[in-house]
Amino acid sequence: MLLQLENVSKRYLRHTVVQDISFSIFEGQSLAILGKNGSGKSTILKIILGLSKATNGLVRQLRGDKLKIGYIPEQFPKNLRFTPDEYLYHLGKIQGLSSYYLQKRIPQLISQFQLDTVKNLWIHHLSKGMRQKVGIMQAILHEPDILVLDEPLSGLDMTTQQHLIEQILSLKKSGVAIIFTCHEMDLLRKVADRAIILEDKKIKEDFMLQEEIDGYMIIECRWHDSKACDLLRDVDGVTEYISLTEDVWRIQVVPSYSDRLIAQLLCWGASICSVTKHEDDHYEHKINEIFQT
Amino acid sequence: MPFLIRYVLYDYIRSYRYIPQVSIYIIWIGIFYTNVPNPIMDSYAITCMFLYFLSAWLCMSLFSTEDPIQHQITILHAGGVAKVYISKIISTWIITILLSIFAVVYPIIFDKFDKPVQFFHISLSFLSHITLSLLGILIAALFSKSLVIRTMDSWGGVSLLLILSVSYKGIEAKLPSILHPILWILPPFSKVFSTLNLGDNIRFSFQIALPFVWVYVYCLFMIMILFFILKKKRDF
Repeated sequence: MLLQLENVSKRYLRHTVVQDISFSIFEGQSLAILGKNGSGKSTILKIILGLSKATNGLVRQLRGDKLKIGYIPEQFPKNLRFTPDEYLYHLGKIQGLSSYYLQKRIPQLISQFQLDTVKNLWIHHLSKGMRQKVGIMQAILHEPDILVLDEPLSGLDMTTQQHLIEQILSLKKSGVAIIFTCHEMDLLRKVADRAIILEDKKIKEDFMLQEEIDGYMIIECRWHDSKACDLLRDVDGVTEYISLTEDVWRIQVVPSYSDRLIAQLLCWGASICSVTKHEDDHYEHKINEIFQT
Repeated sequence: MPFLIRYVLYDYIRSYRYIPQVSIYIIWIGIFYTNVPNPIMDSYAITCMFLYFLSAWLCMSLFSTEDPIQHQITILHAGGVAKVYISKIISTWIITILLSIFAVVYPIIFDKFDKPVQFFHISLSFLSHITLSLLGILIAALFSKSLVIRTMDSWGGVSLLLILSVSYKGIEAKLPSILHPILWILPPFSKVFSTLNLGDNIRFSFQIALPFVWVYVYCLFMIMILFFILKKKRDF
């Protein structure tokens, strides 16, 4: 575990912004914080970043050495009078990174984000998408343990969004924990493992996203075996099963385990009648409601 | 910290926002010394007072140059808000030190004084310029827009404090003596300014050094107040 928030609350004078917020983040995990405008998403991010202090509760960094946290703001500043190269070099030096490291790391990042052709232009001459790429580059310059993104795709065109999603995914694969807010279903589906929904200043829902958004596969099969219950109990990914008639079974399985289960059922002599996808409307509906506001 | 100062200065220089303040000061000094000859210390006292106001203006301008989002990013990279503020104060001071050098050296090079300038004149006037400019910078830093929410409050606060500190002697004369201790909270501009008005035959003494020590102690208090406000702002 990298970071833990324990009953965190934030009040401005008498106005409570968030209350009793508790969650943890692990290496390589990505957590989406969702909620309507003004629900306190950005406040939670600021508390994690240390830019704001919680009125109550604890923010624990659960590692011996200090965690490296990178931050990508919603609107990367427009009026930067530096080239991407200069900007990253300055920030790297401010952070205490060595010149040797920066001379290797900066060209690598510029090439990874396809900014070679504009590396000598001042950032305020770049397009919004390119500026946002510089925003990501500065956040990952020191190879952070946690990356905090505040609506990173806001206002970007589809091509740039896709490119940035790919970059975020590759960071996730490299083990970086990601905490983000967003209003794009695509980013949520592709990147988030877990989501929390804020409502009335508190965490209203907390769920593993792949299971909930992807829903479940429902497999119906003819299978006459007295040990069926025992066999199904030990199968990975099976979340529910029920015997509809004496030899007809309905099994609910996580989509990523469905192929393996079907193969196993066939091995056990079952005959597959149907395979259908069951969407979980509850979360899908909630998320859509948030994204529409 | 040196890299942070370098970054702040690069950003500010490239913004060209220093041009009005710097050009006004240079042009004004040129005009001020048009008539010759001039008394040494009295002339330096005037350029000192002008730099005091200008330093506050420079500081307000430098503090508002960085984009608010970039300000947050810089704080995260620097590892603390105090480091960023101190770097900005030092950066402004570096600019005013350069202006102080110009203010001290220009009349000497172009022979604008009525008598030969001695080393003590140069050192005392240079020290006065850089000391009072630091005081002006810190007053402006306390009322910078990033700490004071409304722009009007920010400019109003700085202007009021600058004017009150310059009018110290006048206020002291009008105020009943029982209320004089209140004046200790005002920035001690006039204490250094009075030293410069002692005439050209001035010699080093403890009485001359004391106002400078007091200004630096006062600056230290202001930095502590700045840190306190920054902490409160984060906690708020």
